[in-house]
Amino acid sequence: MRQRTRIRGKIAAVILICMIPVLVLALVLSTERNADRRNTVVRTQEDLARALAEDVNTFFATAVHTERVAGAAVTAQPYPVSGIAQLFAAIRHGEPGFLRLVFADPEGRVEAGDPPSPPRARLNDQAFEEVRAGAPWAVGSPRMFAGRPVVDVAAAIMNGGSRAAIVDGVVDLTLLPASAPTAATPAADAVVLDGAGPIVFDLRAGARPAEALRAVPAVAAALHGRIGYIDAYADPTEHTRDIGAAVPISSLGWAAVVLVPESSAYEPVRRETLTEAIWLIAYVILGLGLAWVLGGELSAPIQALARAAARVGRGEVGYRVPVRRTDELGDLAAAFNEMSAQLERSVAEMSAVQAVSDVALSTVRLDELLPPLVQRIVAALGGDGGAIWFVDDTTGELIVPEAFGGIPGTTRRLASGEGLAGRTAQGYRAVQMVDAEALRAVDPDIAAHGVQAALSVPLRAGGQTIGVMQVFSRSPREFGPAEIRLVETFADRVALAVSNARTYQRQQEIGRIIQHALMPAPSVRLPGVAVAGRYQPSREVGGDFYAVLPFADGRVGLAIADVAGKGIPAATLAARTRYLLEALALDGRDPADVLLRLNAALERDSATSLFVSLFYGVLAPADTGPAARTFRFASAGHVPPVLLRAEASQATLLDVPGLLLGILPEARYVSHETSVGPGDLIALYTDGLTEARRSDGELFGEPRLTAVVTAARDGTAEDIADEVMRAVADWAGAGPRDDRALAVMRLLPVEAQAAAEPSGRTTTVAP
Amino acid sequence: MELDVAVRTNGNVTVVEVSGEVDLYTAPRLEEALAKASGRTPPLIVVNLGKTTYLDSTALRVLTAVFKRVRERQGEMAIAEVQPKIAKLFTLTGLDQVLPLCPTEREALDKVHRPSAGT
Repeated sequence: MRQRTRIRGKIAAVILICMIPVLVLALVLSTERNADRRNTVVRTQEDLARALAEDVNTFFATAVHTERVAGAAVTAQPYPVSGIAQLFAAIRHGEPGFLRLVFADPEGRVEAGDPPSPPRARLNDQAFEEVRAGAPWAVGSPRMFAGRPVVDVAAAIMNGGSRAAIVDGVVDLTLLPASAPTAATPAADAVVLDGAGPIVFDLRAGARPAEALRAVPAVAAALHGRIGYIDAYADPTEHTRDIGAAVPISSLGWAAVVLVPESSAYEPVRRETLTEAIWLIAYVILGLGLAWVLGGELSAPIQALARAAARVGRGEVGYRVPVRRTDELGDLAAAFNEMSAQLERSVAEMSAVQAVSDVALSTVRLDELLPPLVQRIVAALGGDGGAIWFVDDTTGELIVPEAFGGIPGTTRRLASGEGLAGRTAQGYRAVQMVDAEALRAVDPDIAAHGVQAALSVPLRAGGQTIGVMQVFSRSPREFGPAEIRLVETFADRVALAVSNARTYQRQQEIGRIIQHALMPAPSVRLPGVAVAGRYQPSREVGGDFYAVLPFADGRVGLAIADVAGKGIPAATLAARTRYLLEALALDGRDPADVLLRLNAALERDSATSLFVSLFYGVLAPADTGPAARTFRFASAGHVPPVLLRAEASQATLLDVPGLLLGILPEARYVSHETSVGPGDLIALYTDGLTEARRSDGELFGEPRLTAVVTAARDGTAEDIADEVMRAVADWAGAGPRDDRALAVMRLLPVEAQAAAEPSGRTTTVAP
Repeated sequence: MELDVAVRTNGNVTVVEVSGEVDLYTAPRLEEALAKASGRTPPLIVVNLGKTTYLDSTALRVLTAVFKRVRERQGEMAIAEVQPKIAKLFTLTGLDQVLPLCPTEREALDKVHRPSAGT
């Protein structure tokens, strides 16, 4: 999850960074537009003020015009005073804005008016004074008249270039707003004021203090004839903060002022700014959303790849990621899958090579080696069958050693160069035949088994082709370079294994030949004694042997030995010991003496670190009776033989001390003697029996051995020997780890001795 | 059952402690350790069999071969803390007559220890 956030975050950051100039630009533009908009608002106020000013001008122009028309009429046709009053009454009736109209001479003496003025009254208002001073017309300052804001308007009536009369009117300013409709906007307030006096009019009719307004610089400027803009005017009546514009009404010296509360004036501006801001935020959110989606798009497949790589790393080779994209990430996923597949193939190849190597190393016996080898190799290549052929050194023929692998299925023999195997044997490289017809032509036997394609590779060891290995397919196929490489790798291992197995076999054969030469016949009968010997070799040649030595004087020597070690060294030492023993025991020499000399001879042979345990006893007639005999024996570190006397219920062990042979030159041995009689049993054995292990590791041991011997005591020596060997085999399985040698000697009754076969050398004959 | 061979030195004596079973398959490891120990001059070796549960003839071969070598090189060798079952093997083969079997490692060390020159 962290990785995803990281990639997404980075993409979002990049997009944000890319957005920054756009955002800045948008802000700058927005600010500018804002200023424009504000400007527009101010201009609007100005326009309103101008319009107002125009309205006021028009209002007074109308009034002046009316005055002039009336005056001109009076002047052109001199009316009597009553006629002037009537005319003015009519005008006032038509123009209700005139509260009073007075016709005066240029000096200001009132001639007539409506309503009637006091006689001989003089005009002296400001407008009149201005006109008398020369202005064509004038408007006075606003003033209050009869509770109303009014203003004096005076116009000169000209006659031939000189002033003939002046018409002066009082105009009701309350009518002004009605004739200034353009200033009427819902929010705006329109004010007209003079430099002094009350406010001419205020659209809102609020009691706005005139002085405060005049104090506003923009208003003051307008009163002095310049347009002014009001930035912030705290309206004391409305309690608002206003903006606006003040425009001079130049003909009057007045100012037209438009005031709008800032809040409502800028409302549209704010609204537009808000809309822009919303768009901007939406744009940023869109960008971030895009970054999130894009980040997910990027990081999800990368994460999937990372997870897949982790799985492959954990050993799930061959794990694939789904390829759904067509972009570079899709290419990456495809490349990953290709890598994973390649890895899977490599691992499969490696494990196949491992499996084949395991089999090749598992045993040195060819008959056990070849079938699983062929099976593994065929399985590794996905074939339907296979075969291993050996080259017969003498004839050069190719032979399938055993019928295995299914195809060809029967033991066959091919002459040199014959068939696919024969051809392969003549070359050095793998040969593949993928064309069924061509295969039929070359090797009809294989083709007859339905083989459509075959891969055949020579087995080479020590620079020689020792055979051929083949993999068959019943369906059409081609073997790729990797498969050919694999099969050649297999061939190397098979050739090595076969070569090793053959070397080992030869060694074993030599060892067995030596060992068999040492062993007496399994059954030996001598006067007064029957010996049953059993020997079960372990898979490797060992050094156990037993010997029965009949002497000319009727005594019989009985020996059993165990040479430590395995293989040919052990077998040759056993032979040496065996022949030394025979030579030294000659004439029935005392057992301790035999062992002493034997030890001296073997110890000198210090080239080898092997030692020998040996038990040697001599059975001799005793003086005490015709059937009585003595058994004199000595042991060189050998397991104690079992003695079971005919009359005894329990067996005893002939357990005497003595050092192994071949260790110390000064080793000393002592002979012991016991008397024995007919029916007595003496069982000599090697530790291959007592140390035979059951599957749980427990040893067979001496107590079980003596128990078996005791239980079988009524049988013949042969029966007892068989029984013991069977018991041990039952205990530990038939394939012993160590040699097992056993010699059971039964002393026969004297009668039986007479019936026995003639004495003779029946010993040391190979079985 | 596995075999564990630990080698340590006590003064100039090499103590080889053998735990587990010594048989045909594990004996080479014991042989390796002992061969190294017997290469010292003089070879003074104590083999502690206190934790040895099984010893077969292959192991005896290793011990006797080392013993022969030690004798040839005027060294000393002793066996310590032998279990009764294994002691039987030593008595059976007569090896107890030539190879001292000591109940404790201390006694075995005393048996093989030779004061080095000057002390």
